[in-house]
Amino acid sequence: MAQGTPEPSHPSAPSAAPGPTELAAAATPEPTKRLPAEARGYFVLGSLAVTLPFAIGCFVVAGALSADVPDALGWGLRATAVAVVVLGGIALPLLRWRSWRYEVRDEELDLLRGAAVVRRTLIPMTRVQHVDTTRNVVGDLFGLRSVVVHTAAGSNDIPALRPAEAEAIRDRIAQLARRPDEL
Amino acid sequence: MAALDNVREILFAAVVGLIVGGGAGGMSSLLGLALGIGGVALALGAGYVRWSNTTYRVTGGALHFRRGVLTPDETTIPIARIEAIDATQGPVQRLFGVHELHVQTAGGGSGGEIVLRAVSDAAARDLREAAGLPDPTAVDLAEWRLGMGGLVVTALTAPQIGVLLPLVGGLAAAGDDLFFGQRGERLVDRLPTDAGGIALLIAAVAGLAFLLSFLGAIVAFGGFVLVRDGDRLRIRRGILQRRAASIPLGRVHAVDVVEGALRRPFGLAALRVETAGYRSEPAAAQTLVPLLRTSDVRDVLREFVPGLAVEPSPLRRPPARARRRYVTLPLLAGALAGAAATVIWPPVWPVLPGLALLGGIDGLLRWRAAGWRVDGSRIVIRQRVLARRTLLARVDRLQELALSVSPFQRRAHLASFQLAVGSGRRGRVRHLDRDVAGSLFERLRPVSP
Repeated sequence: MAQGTPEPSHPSAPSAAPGPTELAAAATPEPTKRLPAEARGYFVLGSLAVTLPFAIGCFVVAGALSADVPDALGWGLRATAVAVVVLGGIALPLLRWRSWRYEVRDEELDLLRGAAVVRRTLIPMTRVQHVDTTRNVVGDLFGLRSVVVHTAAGSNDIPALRPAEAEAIRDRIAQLARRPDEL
Repeated sequence: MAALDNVREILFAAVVGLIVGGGAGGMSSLLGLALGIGGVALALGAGYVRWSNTTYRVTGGALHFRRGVLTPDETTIPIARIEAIDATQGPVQRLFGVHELHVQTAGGGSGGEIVLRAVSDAAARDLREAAGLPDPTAVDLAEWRLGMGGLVVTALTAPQIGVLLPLVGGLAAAGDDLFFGQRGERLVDRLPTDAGGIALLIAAVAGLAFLLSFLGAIVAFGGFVLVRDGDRLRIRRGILQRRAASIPLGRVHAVDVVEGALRRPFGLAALRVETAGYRSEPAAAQTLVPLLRTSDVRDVLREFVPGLAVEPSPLRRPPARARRRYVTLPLLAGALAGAAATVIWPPVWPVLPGLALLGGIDGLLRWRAAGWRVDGSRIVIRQRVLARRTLLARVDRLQELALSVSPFQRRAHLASFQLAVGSGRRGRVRHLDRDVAGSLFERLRPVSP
């Protein structure tokens, strides 16, 4: 799925597997660079950090329900908790990892991501104000960094890159963004 | 001009002194008067010391500004870096015939890098001459003023009503604690329970919110003046507190035409400028024109922001098959909210179809508003979020482009398009044909040099 093959333009055309290539509408190829394999663990752990406490809370509430509440409610709560952890904590982050693509071009940064809603973002290099590499606790566990690109409108990041790659991307963007341009 | 710069503080001190003096029961009124006079004297003294420690001079090709008593700060701006010197005059400054000067530089925010609070006419002229800037009073500048009638209409149609309602609720709660707390008799218990009483109460609260909003808008937009001086826009507004902003035209990346729900039926709108900031400085979106006829938008822009004076031709719309998608989600959301309310309190069941209908209508209106058009080096994006907002933006200053496809859109060959301008404002059109959205995306992306 590296190359962006132009889509047939029939409104009713049934599309194939919902891969990221869906967004290729015209000439420019889609980004191709993927996140490293370690990023899977980073994505999953990051999502579990949110979903697990929720699931534990559900189990605690289910256990503490008084006797006159129907049993089904407690089991429903437990089932929800398990589903949230399995889907939201494991499956979704893996899908997110699988769909992530990025590309640093001379004139723009191209990001493509999203498990269900596929989203492609372009940031013109001339609009980049500054670029950082950042690290966090979860990323450190996997030896990963992220690159954050700031424009006047806000920031975008490429999460979970190997340090050497993150630094190379940061320096390349900084170099490309240096072109003088008014704000 | 001396310490009178501090008139506001002095008056405040005097009033506090007099109130403390007059109000405290045990104190004689003579002592109170003495305290008041003492306060005035103290404020006058402090003002004098502050004034005598604030100096500016132009030497060695730079403007030096020094202020502060214990830890003086000195700011130096090379003359060549001064882009403009803006003058404003508040009521107190007018009383003493002085001006407040804002020395503007490229990196500075809208408030001015150096602010000289009380400068005479002659001194202002000298400073401008030293900086090599033309005298603004000598040239005839494009100017837009909000008249008395315009101010009243602006205030009547001000969009803050929705924002103020919770505030009134908060005030009511605070009043509840203050006035009814101790006696064990709470306001909540005295609320009317019959339908007529409730309606009356709601009307009273809404009326109060409207009144506050009206007064707020009068205070904020009173004396609104927009001036274009070469490549700079100057905006001054406000009755109690005079706000002045000076915006280089080059930083205006977009203009937003906001047609509020109360204004659009009368063909009225407001214009906002979306300007870019550096990261250290908050980006500003602010009122360029508080009220104008929608049909005059292009003429006003031609005069003040010529780069964005887009011809008012119709926009391209999302395809017909997108309408259902605009309607479905808000309709379901309304129905869901109604269902939740009904489960909690069954007698309110009519809100279920009511909210669903409202949601559906809102979706339909959003569908009708959505549109886009590329006009040379400018893009027009229209969407509706309560008010209908049309963003006119410079293509060469777009900060971000995005295209997104949800699983539902994928089946119908649709995509949503979004862009961001320097102020952080995002313009979005949902459910375009995917090929149309894709070619728009390609058309707006940066061209390789």
